Amino acid sequence: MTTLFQDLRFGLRMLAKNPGFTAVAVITLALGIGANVAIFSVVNAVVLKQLPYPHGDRLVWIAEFLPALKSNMTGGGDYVDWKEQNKTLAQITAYDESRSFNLTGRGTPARIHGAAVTSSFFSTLGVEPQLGRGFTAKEDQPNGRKVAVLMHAFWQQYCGSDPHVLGRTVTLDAVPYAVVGVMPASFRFPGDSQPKLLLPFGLDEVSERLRIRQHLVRIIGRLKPGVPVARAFADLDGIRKRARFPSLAAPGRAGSPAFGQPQPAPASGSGSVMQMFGTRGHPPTGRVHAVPGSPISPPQRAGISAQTFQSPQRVLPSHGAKTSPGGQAQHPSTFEGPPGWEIKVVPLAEHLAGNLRPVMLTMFGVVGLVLLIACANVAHLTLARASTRGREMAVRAALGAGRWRLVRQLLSESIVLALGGGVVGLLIAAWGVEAVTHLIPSSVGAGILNLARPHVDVTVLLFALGVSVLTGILFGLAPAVAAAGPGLAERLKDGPQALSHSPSGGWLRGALAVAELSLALVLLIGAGLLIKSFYRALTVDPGFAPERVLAMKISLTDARYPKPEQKLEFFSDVLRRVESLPGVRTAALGDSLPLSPYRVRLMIRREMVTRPGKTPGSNTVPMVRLTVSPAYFYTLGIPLLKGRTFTDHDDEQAPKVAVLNDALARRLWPGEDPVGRRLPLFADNLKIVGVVGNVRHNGPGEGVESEIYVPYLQVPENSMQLALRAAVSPASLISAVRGQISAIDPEQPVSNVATLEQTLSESFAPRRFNTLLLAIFGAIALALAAVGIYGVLAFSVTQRTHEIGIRMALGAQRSDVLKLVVGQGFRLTLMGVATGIAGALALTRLLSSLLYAVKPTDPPTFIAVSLVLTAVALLASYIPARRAAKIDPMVALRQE
Amino acid sequence: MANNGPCLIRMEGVTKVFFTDEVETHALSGVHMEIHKGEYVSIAGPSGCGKSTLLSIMGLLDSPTDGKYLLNETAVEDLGLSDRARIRNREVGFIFQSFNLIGDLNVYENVELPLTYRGMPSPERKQRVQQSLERVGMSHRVKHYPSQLSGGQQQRVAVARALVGEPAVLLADEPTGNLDSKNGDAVMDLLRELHRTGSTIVMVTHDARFARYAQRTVNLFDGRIVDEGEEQSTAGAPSAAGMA
Repeated sequence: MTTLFQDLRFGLRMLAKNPGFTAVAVITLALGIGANVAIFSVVNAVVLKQLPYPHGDRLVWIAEFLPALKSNMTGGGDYVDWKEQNKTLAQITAYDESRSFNLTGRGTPARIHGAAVTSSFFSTLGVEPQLGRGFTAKEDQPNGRKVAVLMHAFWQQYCGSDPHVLGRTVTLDAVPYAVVGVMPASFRFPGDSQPKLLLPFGLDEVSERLRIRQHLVRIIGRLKPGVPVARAFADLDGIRKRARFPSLAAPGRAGSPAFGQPQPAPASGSGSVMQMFGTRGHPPTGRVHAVPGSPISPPQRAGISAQTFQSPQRVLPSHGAKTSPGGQAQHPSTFEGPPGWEIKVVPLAEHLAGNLRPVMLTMFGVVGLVLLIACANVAHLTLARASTRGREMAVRAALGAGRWRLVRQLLSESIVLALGGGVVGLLIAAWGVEAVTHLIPSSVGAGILNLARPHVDVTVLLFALGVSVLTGILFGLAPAVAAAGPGLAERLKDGPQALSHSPSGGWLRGALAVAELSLALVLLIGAGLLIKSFYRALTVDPGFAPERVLAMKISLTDARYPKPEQKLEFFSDVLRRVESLPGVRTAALGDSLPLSPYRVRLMIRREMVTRPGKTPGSNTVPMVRLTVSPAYFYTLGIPLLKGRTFTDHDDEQAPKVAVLNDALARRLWPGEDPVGRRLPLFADNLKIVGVVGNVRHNGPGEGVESEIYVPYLQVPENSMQLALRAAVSPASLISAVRGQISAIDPEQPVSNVATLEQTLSESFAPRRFNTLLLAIFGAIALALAAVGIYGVLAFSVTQRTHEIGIRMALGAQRSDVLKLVVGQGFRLTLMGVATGIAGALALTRLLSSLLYAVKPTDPPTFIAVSLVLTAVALLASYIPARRAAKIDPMVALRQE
Repeated sequence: MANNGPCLIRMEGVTKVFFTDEVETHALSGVHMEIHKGEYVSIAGPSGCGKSTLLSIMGLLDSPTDGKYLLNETAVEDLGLSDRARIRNREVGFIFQSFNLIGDLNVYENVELPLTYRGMPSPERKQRVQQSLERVGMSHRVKHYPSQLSGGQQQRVAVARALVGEPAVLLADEPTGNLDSKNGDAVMDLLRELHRTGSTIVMVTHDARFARYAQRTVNLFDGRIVDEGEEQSTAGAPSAAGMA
């Protein structure tokens, strides 16, 4: 131990003696270690850390998933079955975090976000309100008492942190709710957004179980101690299958009515609905209802297909649906579900991390490469420095130091250096983790970041210490072994140059430079692919014109506008008033404007509209239904391709009409004109009156989906988005538009106010984030590699000064010397590029999921990036080459 | 003068002053000298007298502070770097005390190097390298690296490298300084042999025994020529029995 401290002390002294070397090495290492620690901090938060709930590792997210429809929600019937029959969960809760309400009676009316939760929500998560209590089972009934638990922020903002708030009421959608609890400030809701308050879900478990009337829910379970996720999956999947296939059910059990998926039940607010329709051979005449207790086997069922949601939360009554006073729609229950439904049981933390998890793990790999480059750089510096200490090592050996002793001494110095880099790296990381967290788009990581904010904690500090020590060993080992290697006697005789002249030293330095270049190339190609991908996404036509379009959401409540005519009147009034505003060119309404989540997804059987076997492909056609006002296409700049768009005459009394987008038209009637054809949907036989251009609804980097537009005058909705195209800056119209809406109904809030350009820009955020991070790390890698090759050649020139002198004495011109040095750099670069390309071919496929319209092996990117790296490397080689060409041969020859 | 051939090197009042900080060091002071083609001249004198500086100026590795220098009747004292390199390559062959072979190049490549800089085609280079190595008795070691050769062998390779370009003059700076007496004698015998076949040789040495190999010895002291005289005979010089 004493000798270790002696070595460390000596190491510190040596580093202090060479401040230039120390500074360059520490900064290089700090960049590498800092980047690693910063990314690790995020990985630690989103991947490694437990959720901030008691035994959070036992919480699982349970969902049914239909990839074809991007549906990821579960029916209340399955929840009830799982709740009653499971053997692997200690607790289970269902919730819907997408509720929103008009809050009145507390200042300016506001649209607020809430969540409906079952009474088991609190016990499942293991949390307790700070004031009051959670919900009782009685309150969590369909017609239970109207109660609410406030989130801490709501309590502060709207109740002034009143400690006597319990028992008082808050008015939501004109209905008073009694406050029974207040959650602590530390509580975070397990979702992408933080609701302001919690309400009882009030599931009708009997109806849900019988699939007569179902809600779509999100489910969290708490595993019993010691139960693995896989066993819970098997348990829940078995229950689900028995419910779908009554023949599998236990004898005597009144199996569930169908294996179809649940229909959404409505609520106020936003959300997307997926439904399925269709009959076998003839248009549907209405909904098919299951008879409770009389399970219908698949052959008996009318051919109505399945429905589900994309990401929604709230369920809207579909066109023609019977809406109950409570806002729940009567839905068919005997749907023959499309194939491919899967159940997912994953740790809640993994679910919440979502897409951020693979992205951050990829970035962790990326910064690992950056650290390796930094290590190679510092290894080279250390090697160069060790070469000047050949005589010192020889003297130590002559005095009896063994080889391991010498290696240890040099390694101690490296570790001291790396720890210095680690300390500075931590400072960089402390800033970097903030920057990275700030850059993470909310659409990617909000779920987990709401619960676990990345920061430098003890785990991160230990990681920094570990990575610093490992780094010190990594970059210090080769130089240490080389310096303490054989031939010490010769070094003692020949002096400091001996090591530098050793062929192994030159080989090692060259190998380090090649490694740096190849690693940098891998990162740069990755960055190049993402940049190209980003550019492609930026330049793709979204199918609509977002310029100068202002959008906002208006959600009417059934309590205030119980009749469809009232809703239509309100929205028509809004359109009239807004269009009359100076600066507004045109205005329109739609239930899901581009870039907002789809609300209604549905699926039809192809034979409903075509003769069986006439068109190839799947028998079911998924599509999205959009409810729009007549000026929608004009306002959003969506081109009309065939027929006509809607007019004010397409109202409730007029024949039911629809407009298809080009994708759906081609899918249903390939090569034919769809205008004038009929499409049976819901209870109506819609006449296709036009075809419009495709819209990349989910963003320019996403695919085109099949869309069917119906006129809002025929399909009145509670919640619509207002879009207006302005002749002036759209932001300047916000207050005027709000004023007009307030003039119609002072208690009607508007929400989600943004220009489409802003929304479009935000839709690029995930792609921008990935690209930016990789570009930053690629740039660091390029800079380090350039410094690396410069260092190798500069050192080589220093070591070869005498040789260059000889060459000049023999008649070498300056250009010969330039060629000599640049040629050396070029050879190393070529080797680096060759190995880098091989590495990139192997590794860039990991980026596949992040790319858009670019292959992971895109040749132009590979070539362009290789040329850039070669150019930078040659430039870095030119500097020492130029110095070499200026060597005075007399001085060089004397140097020996 | 010992040789009546045309004048190859003519120096008139060559002066070389080194400036170090504020100190002026006069390495050469008004040196007048002529060397004719085919001559074998040794430059002798104590350490620091300016021998190597004079040789460097002759070899165009350095330029005089003042004075004139004509090589092959061409004034070369004010030439640019590029022209000086070209002349060094074609007219001068250097033999250094420490051999100055390039460690990363093998024997063949070391000898070939001056021809490479001359832009000579490869077949011709190969032929001349082979001939040159045969002249010094090293053609059997073409693939060896300098570190695999003895000092005497390295110097013979260095001589071959100096000869390969068929320069007008061979400049040898203490060519035996790093060799034992046996190898030193062998190198001197080689130089004498080259002289006999027509080479012009200028050799710096501080060893009177080796100076006797030359036809003429120029003695320097404090940067000036203090004595110049022809050797009586080179026959008395020891002959080499062979080199290690």
